[in-house]
Amino acid sequence: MKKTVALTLVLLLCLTSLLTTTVAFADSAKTRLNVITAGGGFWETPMAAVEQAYEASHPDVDLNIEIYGYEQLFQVIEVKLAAQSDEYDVIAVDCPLVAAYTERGYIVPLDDSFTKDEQDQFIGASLKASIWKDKFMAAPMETSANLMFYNKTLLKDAGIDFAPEDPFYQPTWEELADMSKRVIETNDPDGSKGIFGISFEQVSRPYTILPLANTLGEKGIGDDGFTVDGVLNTEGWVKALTFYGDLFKDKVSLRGIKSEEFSPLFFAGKALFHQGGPWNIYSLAAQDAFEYGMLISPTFKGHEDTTASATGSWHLGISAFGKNQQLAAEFIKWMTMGEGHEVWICESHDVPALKADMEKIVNDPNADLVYKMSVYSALNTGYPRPVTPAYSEFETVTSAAFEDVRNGADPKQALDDAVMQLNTLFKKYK
Amino acid sequence: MGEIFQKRKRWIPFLCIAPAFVMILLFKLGPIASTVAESFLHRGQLSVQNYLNIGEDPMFWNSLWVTFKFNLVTTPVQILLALGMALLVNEKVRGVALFRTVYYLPVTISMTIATLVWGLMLNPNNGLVNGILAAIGIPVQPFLTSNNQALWCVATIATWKGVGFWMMFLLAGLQNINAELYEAARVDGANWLRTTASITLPLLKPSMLYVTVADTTANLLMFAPMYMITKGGPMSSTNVIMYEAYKSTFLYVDRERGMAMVTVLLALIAVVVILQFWAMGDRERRGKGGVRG
Repeated sequence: MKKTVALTLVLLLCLTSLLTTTVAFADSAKTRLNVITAGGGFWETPMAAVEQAYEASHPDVDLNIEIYGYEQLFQVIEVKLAAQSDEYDVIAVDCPLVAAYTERGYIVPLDDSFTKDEQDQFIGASLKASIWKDKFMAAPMETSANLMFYNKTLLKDAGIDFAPEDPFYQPTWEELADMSKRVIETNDPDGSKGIFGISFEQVSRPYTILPLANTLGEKGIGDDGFTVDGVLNTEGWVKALTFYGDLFKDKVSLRGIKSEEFSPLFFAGKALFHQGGPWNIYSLAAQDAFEYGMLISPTFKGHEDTTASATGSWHLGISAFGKNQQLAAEFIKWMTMGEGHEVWICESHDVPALKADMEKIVNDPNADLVYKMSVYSALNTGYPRPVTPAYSEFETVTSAAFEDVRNGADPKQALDDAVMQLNTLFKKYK
Repeated sequence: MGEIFQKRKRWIPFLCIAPAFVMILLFKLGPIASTVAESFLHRGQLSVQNYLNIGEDPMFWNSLWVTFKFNLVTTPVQILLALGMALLVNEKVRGVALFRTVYYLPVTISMTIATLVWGLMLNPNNGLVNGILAAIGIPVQPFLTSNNQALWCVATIATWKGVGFWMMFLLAGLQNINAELYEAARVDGANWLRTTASITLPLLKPSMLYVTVADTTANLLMFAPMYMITKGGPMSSTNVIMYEAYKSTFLYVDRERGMAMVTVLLALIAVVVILQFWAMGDRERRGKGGVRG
């Protein structure tokens, strides 16, 4: 009896092992495609939809998407790809970093997978950001546009009549600052309610600040990709940063608040304006604390003809060290202009980078207003960030300078210090 | 046979510490040696160019000054506070164990959490500290958004977090001092101050030396608050060498610059520690005389 029981148990164990091994072998018969991307905290759901759609149409591929927070992604990519790790096949590339990743040897060209006609299907700003030294290096997954949301309830409470009928009404920064001061004075004179004027979703980052100077006719960096003296510390830049610094000095916006803390404050009804993007619309629609409105990106008074707005977003590139480069190229094409692109735009609610998609939105009378306004901004005022292999250095140093101005530093001094630092850091490229 | 057994027994202690030694070699000494070696490579060639480059780099000199300034103030303050707390909790009073626990509690919180919580408390808009200051009539302070206050806010966080830890080492040192010495001093009519100066402090030297060296090293390597809340600002006022080296390696992808900076920091730590050993070490053992009997 004992022997029978023992034998039965052993047989069961063998069967289980055999079954598990068979399943494991069956799984390992699939090719694993590893993707690393940003979007920690908000892209989990749309990326899961992408995974599902891709694996449904590619049953022999096991798609694995790793999602990281914005800052963490850059560090992980640096650590892994600097060590030439083959852990990832596809990497998300922030559009201003295409040149940098190409120079560092992290990504390989996509020219064999995307014909010139296919490349031309992307909007101009996104295509320009995809190309470095005449090679198409990373395909745009989407683009972006800034929108200025505003709290109608706070305006009503302050007795301010501001309700532009034209959805493409161009506000000015001066107008927004003035309304902010009036709302604060009326609705929260002693500051006890914590109400303030303008909330910045990407406070002190080049994405937010560059358009201020670009609107005044200034660039971020010279055409050679490295000249900053006489480009970054011009009178126009001082004017733009003086305006920015005054917003915080006059308590129109707040110091000591991180980028990710601003959105919740606006959604809680604490801010009059919020500079965000179409991705905010679902959080706004879900709240019932206040009535909201939308505006396209503001300009400066007298500079309506040179209005610049933030644009550009995430691209996808093939890791130079990945084992499945052909499969990676096919995935990138699927994700940027195939079925995956439709799934992505539908699930993420981000702005497409394809001309055809943008035209559809412009011509569709039933398209959501938030997308019409975003596409309008991207097509008419979108000003791409500088193309330079030194963008990491540029972003780090200028972000610190913009944050210093936010905290009260003299704009000219901050810009001159930034120029000095960048000139030192750029030496290694010469 | 017995002789063979005795010979084998001599190897047992080395066998026991071998795993720890291998780990230290692999994860501490190995990376240090690799970093120092890499700092002397410039574009693949053996060279001191990396050091010449950082010598001409105003950001490096600023970060060196900020590191030095931070340690010059923070380390002595922490040691004095730890000593004061150790002397207090060494008294035999009812409930002293509760005080020891409370003083030690911040040590049990990770630096990450401590930094985040203090960051919230020091928020210039709605932080707890400004709330308390406002209640007692002191104007709202900018704290971490001020280039004059940010570094000392970081020093406060580091001190709040670490002083309990150093206190425990000094407390252990105090409790190792023979109680009869204090009895004898009392009989001779020595007051608290005289007892502390002539008995406590000299006999506490070994513990003080350890705490001084370890605390100095920890403060020279301070990184978490700069990474998490100040980002080296405002106006580079908290941009210590560790943070500048981090930016160099992980943001600017300039490993050579980063390696050169941490090697300079390593040399600085070595010099400071050697000076501390020389100043506070056992002079008798060094054959330079000292306290006799």
